[in-house]
Amino acid sequence: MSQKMIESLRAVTDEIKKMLTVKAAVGEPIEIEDKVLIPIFGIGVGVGGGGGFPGKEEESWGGGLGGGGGVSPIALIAVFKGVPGPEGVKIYSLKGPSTIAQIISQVVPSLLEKFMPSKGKPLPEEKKEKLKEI
Amino acid sequence: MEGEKYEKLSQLLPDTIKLCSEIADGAKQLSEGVRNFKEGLKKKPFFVRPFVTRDFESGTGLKADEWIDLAERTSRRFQSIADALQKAQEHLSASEKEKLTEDFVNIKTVAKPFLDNYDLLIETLSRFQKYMAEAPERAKSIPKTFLSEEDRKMMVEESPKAAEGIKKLVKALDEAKTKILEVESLK
Repeated sequence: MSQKMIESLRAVTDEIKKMLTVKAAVGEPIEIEDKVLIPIFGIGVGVGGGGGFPGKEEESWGGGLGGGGGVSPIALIAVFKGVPGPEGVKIYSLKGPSTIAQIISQVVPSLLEKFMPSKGKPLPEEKKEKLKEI
Repeated sequence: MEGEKYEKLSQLLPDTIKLCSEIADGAKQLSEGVRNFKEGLKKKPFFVRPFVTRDFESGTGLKADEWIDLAERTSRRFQSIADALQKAQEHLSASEKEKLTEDFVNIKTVAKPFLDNYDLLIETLSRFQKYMAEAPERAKSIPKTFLSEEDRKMMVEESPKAAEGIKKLVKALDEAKTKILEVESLK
């Protein structure tokens, strides 16, 4: 691979790295009653190059370069208040179907109940039946 | 005395028919709104859906399907009341006053389920109105991770409009109750 090509690839990857900062990788901590949850986002950097033809190095090369970045949630770190040591920290993976159930049962309910507190109760069945008379 | 009664009835019927037709339309719009909410929910992440569904039910008192049923039933009920009143209006205009007795029986029959359950209907709709009115405040407390900007904007901008629409419906139902009872008192 020519030196020019290597330099171009490096420039592309450097630019993408500049765009994707540490802030984008670690989400804002969410504090709920007994724990602090920190979302972790995965950063995907992909660079592709293509083309070229034989020739003297330092002369010319052909083809194209492309780069792309993606950010997606990969894990949740739960820090339990008042629980010292490693016991106080849990990591929930957001990848893979087997752990989804674990997250749903342990983290999402407390989160959503925290942020969507509903104090009301559904109407009793007898009232629902009365409304059906209308 | 009879003449005075018919005069009052001829003044009262057009407004009451118009009001009942507006309520039928308003209730239909409410059912469409809840149907849209239900459809929109299908596009949300699967783990969020049960909580939004539960929050909606505990906040408004009814499940989305129950709201659709209630709103559609209310719409049909008011269309029936408007039709019964319209028939009385036609007989009154055509001076077929002997047919009014039957019309009054019909009006009483179709309006009864609404009048009997008026308090519960108002209480339930007012709860829905409150739930929608409080949505912008609730949106502030939900972190970005769980609520897209689009949804947040929707909650802040559109929910108060829906709350206002339900409030108008409640007010119209209150007026309708008064007018229907007034019509019934002229039999």
